[in-house]
Amino acid sequence: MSPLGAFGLEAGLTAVAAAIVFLLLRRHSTSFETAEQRATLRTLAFATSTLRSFRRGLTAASAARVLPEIAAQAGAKAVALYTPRGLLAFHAAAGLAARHRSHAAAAAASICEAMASGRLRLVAAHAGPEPGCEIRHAAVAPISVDGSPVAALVSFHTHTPAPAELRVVSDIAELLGTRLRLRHADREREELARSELRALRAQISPHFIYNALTTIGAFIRTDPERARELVLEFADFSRRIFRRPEVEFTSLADELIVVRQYLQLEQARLGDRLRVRLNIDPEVLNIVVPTLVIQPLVENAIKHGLASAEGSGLITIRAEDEDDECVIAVTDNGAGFDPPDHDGHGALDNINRRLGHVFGDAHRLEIRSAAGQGTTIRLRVPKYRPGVHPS
Amino acid sequence: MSPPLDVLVVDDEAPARDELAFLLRGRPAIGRVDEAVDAEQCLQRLTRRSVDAVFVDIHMPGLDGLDLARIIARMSPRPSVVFVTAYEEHAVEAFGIEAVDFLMKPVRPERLDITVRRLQRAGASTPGPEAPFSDRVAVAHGDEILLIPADEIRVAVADGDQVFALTPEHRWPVRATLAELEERLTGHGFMRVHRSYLANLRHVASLESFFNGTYLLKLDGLRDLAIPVSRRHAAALRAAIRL
Repeated sequence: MSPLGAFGLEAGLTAVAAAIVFLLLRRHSTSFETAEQRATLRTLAFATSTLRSFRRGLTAASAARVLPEIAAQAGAKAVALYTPRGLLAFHAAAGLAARHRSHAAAAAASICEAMASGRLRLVAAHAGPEPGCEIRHAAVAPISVDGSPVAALVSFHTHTPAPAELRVVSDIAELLGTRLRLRHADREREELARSELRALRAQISPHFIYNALTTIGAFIRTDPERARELVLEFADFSRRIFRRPEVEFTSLADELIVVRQYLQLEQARLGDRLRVRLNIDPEVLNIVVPTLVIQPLVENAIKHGLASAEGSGLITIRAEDEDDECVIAVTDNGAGFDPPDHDGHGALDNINRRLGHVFGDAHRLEIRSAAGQGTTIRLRVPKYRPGVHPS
Repeated sequence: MSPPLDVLVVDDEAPARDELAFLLRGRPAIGRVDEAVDAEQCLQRLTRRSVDAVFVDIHMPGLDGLDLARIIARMSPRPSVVFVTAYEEHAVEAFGIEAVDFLMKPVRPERLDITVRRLQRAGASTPGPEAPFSDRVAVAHGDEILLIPADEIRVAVADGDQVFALTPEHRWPVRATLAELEERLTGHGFMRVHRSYLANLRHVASLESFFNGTYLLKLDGLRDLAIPVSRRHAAALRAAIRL
C-alpha cells in the first residue's frame, strides 16, 4: 500500500478524533477541573483505541472490544452494532438492560430498515410489547462507506434520549465510518497496486517469448552450450517475472538481475546490434524498489534504440548513490521522440502510477527526449522509506 | 578432503532425473549416483543401501516428495534431503521439513556446486568445542569490547574508514582495517570478494552472475543482503566454491 496516502488519511482521522474531543469538551463546561481533564483524556484514549480496534475491519470481535467504552461514552444502558445481516455485537451494563440482548436480536429487521435510510433515526426498541423489559427506544446511527450504510451503531434507552446523547452516538458512528473508509481505501490501493503489477507482467510480450525460443532453437544447432545457458536464463527470468503478484517490492540487486537476464536473451538475439554500458554503485544494490520498474525501461530503450536501424543500439544503465536517494537512469541512442508519446496504457504509465502510489508524484519518471537525440528516463528512489520493505 | 558422497535422485520425469544425475556425476565430490522413479522405489533402494543424500522432486504421483522426506527424516542413519522443485522456495519452506537445500528446476550447474558444499558441511557437522580466543574477532559494543566467534560473522564491510562485521542479527563496528581482518580470517574461510567486502564462504547461499563478469553473493542468515563480487575477485571465488 502507499505509505504516503495512508499518512494523509491518518491525519484526517486524527482531525476527526480531535473534533470529537472538542465536541465532547464543549458539551461539558469550559472550566478545566481535574475531572474534566480526566474525561478529556479518557475520550481521547477512547477515540484512539476505537480506531485501532477497527484497523482490521468491522468484526464481532473488534466490536465486542469497543462497545463497553462506547456505552460509557454515550451514557446508554445498552449499545449494539448491526450489519444489514443482523445483530453483530451487543453490550449492556449489568442489570435489567442485559435482558434486552435477545430483544435486540429480534428487533434487527426494524433497525436494519432504519439503517438503510442512512440517517440518524429514533425507533421503538421492540416490535410489540415486551413485559419486564425497561428498554423503550433505540437510536440508530448508520455507518456509511462510499454513501451506502454498512453497519449501524445503536444505543438503547429507557427514556427518550436527549439531543446531546444522540449527538454522541452519531459522532461515534461517524468516527467508525471514517475508520472503515480508510480501511476500504487501503485495500483498494493495495489491490490497485497489485493489479498494476499483474497488468505489467501481462505486458511481457508473447513476442519476447517467441523471439527467445527462436534464438535458443538456432543455438541448439550451432552452439549447444550457449543454448543450454540461454534456456537456464530464460527459466530464471520467467520465474522472477511471474512471481506471486503480492511481491510489490524487491531489492535493486534482484531487479537488476532481471534486467541482466533480459539483456542476455536480447543480446543473444540481436548480437552486435545491441551494446550495453553499465554503471552501478555497489552502495545502492540493497535499496528497496517497486518490483519491475527497471526492466520495462530497458525494454523500451531497446525498442527506441534499435528503431534507428542503422548502426547499433547503445543502452546505458546507471544506478548512482546521491545523498539520500538513488538515481536510476536508462539511456538509449535511438531516434528519440518529440514530444514524449505515452498514451496512458503503456508500461511507462504503469510504472509512473506505481511510483506515484509508493513515493509520491515528485518521484515519477523524468523523461528527457528529443528527435535525433536519444532518450533518457530517470527515476529517483528514496534510499530509506519507512513502511517499504521487500516482500 | 572428505570422502565422496553417495546420492540418490528421485524424480518421476526421466529428462529431469537424467539431467540432475548427469550434473551430479560430473562433480568430484560426488561418488555413486543412483536413480529412482518414485518414492516407493526410493525407499526400497534405501533399505538395501544407505546413501549420504537424497535429491527429491516435490511433485510426484503417489507419495509426493514432502511425504517421502518425512519418512526419510525418521530413518537411521538419516540421509540429507535436497528438494528439487519448480515451485518457489518459500512455498516449500512453509512445510517445515528439514532440508539441506532447495534447488529450482531447471538446475544450474553453479548452483549445484553450492548444494554439494552444503551437503559436505551437513555431513561433517559435529558441534565442535567453543571457539578459542584466537578464532574470535574483537568488536565494539558501546564502551565495551566483545569477542565474537569468527564463524558467526557472515561478511565484513568497509564503510568509509569504519569496518563493520555483519552477523545474522548485528552490525558490529570493528577496530581493524579490512586488510588486517583479511589477514587474520583467511584461514577461517573468509575471502576478499570486493574492495569493500570480506565474505565468509562457509555460509554461501547463492552466487548469481551480474553484469560484466561481476557477481552477486548471498550468505545464509543474511540472505536479504546482496554482496557485490568484483570481476578481479570473481575467478578465485568461483574456484573456491567449486572445490
